[in-house]
Amino acid sequence: MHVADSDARLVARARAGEAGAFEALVRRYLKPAHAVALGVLGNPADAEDVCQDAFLAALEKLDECRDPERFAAWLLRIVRNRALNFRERRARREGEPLERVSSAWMAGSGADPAREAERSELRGRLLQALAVLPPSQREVVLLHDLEGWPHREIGELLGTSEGAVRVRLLQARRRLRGLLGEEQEGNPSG
Amino acid sequence: MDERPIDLTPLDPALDREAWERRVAAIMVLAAPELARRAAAASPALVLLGWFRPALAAAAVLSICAGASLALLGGQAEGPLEETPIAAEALHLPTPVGIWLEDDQAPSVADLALAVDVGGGRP
Repeated sequence: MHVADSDARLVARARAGEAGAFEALVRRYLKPAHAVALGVLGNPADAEDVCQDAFLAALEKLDECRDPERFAAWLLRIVRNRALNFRERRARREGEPLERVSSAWMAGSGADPAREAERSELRGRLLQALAVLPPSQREVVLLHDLEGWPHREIGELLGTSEGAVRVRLLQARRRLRGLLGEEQEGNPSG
Repeated sequence: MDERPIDLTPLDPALDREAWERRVAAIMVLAAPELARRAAAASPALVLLGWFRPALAAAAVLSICAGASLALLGGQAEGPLEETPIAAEALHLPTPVGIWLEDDQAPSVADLALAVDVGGGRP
């Protein structure tokens, strides 16, 4: 039976320059990192840039990760800080709205045009609905409903209480259901 | 209270496998120089060198301290060394008795007679 390496073990090997170990960490945490960045930025393309940048920064600062068993929390704090800085710079530089949906990201790979178009439309509606939420609610709903993170860990990451996370999650869900209409009513499994 | 999760799976960045693999690959390409630097720093020869350097420095410090100590104590050590008296001499025993003790042998009658003679002539 294959047992996945612990974060601490992968971090130790990555510190020694083992590319396979670092790639395993990237594959394990790119999705939650993306959820965090998307929660802050509301824009998948920008979230991708921030994630890439954050993983490289994390590798450079890997020796500063004092508790490698909690690598995920450490990494996601880097992602979140970088996303917040990015958002601030973007708003100051361009004066553009904080949420801007990337058409390239929404277009997908185009392998099955009909299915891809449907998925793209759904993705676009979700992103537009998420863009209406305040970032604090968006971060919580993405981490919980997309990545399955428990309330307590989300609270630790965001520096807030578990109770506050629960409240924000319920507010976000209620708001999103209102914006998305009936389709989420018929799909409670997700 | 709304406990049902929202289905956000269309936002999963790994849904498009090709794009996902490209993202992972892009990070790995950009991480390659830092990983190479770390691998070089962690090579056994460099690790040994890393340990060897402080050992060399410690040896140098010890040599300097030893040299300084010798230089300070040098004047006292240069005088002629006094011979350490053996136990029999320290106790002022006659020489034949000292020889018996050194040889760890019981004296014969002749030895005893000689000792009496020698002891008698002792200053």
